[in-house]
Amino acid sequence: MATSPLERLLPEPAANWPAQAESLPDLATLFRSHFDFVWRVARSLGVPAASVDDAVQDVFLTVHRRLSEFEGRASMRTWIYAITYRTAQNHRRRSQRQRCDALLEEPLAEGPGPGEQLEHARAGRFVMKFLEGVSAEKRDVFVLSVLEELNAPEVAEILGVKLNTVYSRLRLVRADFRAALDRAAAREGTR
Amino acid sequence: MMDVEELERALLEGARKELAPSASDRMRIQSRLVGNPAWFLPAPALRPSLLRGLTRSWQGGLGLGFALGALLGFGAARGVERALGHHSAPVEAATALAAPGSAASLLPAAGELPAGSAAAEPGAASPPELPSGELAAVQPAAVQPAAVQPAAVQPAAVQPAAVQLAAAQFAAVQLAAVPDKSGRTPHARGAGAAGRRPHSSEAEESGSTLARELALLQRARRALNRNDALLALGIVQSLDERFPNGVLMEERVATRILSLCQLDRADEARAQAQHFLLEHPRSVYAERVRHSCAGGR
Repeated sequence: MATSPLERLLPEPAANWPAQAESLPDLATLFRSHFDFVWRVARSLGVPAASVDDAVQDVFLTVHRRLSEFEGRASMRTWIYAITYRTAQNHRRRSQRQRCDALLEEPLAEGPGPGEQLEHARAGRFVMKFLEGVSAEKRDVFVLSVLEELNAPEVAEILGVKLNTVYSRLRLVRADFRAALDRAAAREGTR
Repeated sequence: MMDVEELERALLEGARKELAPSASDRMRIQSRLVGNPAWFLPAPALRPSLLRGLTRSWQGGLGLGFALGALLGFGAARGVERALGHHSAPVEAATALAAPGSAASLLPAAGELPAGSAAAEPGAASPPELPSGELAAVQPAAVQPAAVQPAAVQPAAVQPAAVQLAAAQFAAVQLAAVPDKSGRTPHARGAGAAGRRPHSSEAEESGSTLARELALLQRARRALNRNDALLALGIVQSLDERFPNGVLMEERVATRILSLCQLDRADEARAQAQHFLLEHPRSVYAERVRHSCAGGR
């Protein structure tokens, strides 16, 4: 197929972006830089396995679309966390407590509990199982503060709650986690 | 035995690894996103209204058919013939298309415009140096608030530069292709159009939407040229989503049919083509479609 004369005349728009536009990344760049944690957060925030692909795709399309609104108040990463969080919430609501994650259906007691030879898969299952058992408020704080290691002000910003709320939920959920660990360790010990 | 804190750390570390995406997760999501034109477009920044002068007065007209024919490289010569009923035009237009030409080289075929008309000026092909008539037609006069523009929620909204380029292309081809019946030069016509509707937000809206639609369509066409029919098809799909009532439907369907052919999806191409040829038997793209895998020959 021949290129029309006008097309030959005009370079690809991409080669012609004004300097100002160069600071705004395209979707490919955003994806490369942020895919891992977006995926991880979408999964751990309780998006059903069947919807994780959709949720992650939504996150990137939203981030790209709203990039011009990004004000730089928080870091880009925190901003993307916030979008991921909201998207995950939507997908969670949509799936209305559907429990289709096969990972979670496997009873914890069947495998060896968390111990020295703990495999990643088992650790993942343990944590997912734990997250499944706590309230959404505690889980969100646990995922962002403990798993993702964001600081408390960032978590407050993302969740849209007061800093003190983050601290108190964090205390509670850490205690829950420790208790779950103790139970698992005790089970391990009694074998 | 590990102490509890150590165990906790090990667990969390293991969980992070377990929750990380696998290579196939990455590939799967990436392949979904690659089909989106935003994949290679920088994120939308400012949204100036770009196409003030490009009003509906010529949308869907034969001039547009020609313009798209030329821009998309489909049967442009036939477009000229039909647009002007000019018997010598096809030959001349074909020559112009074959030559490593410029917009100006299309002119004699398109409308036998008087020397010195707008599009014949060197500036016609280069947006930053547009002649004043075109400036009046193309240049933004006000920044449109993003909230007002439905396109603001479209992931693939095109950068101003791209829109401007597309607008300039449109303006140039439009001016070249459709001499005004009143006898005014296209140059004067462009200025007149802007003058008549200097503050029509509807015109702005339709103009910039059209430019975005065109920009995407051109990308689809380029992808097709590079034998990347999958991408072309992805772009056509997102055109369907973003512009369900687009202006450039004939071009879109033709691009889809040719993409399907390139992907050896002849059955789907034929189904599309049947519908297309029934609806637009005299389309400038009909010949192209008839000669494709969908033409049943």
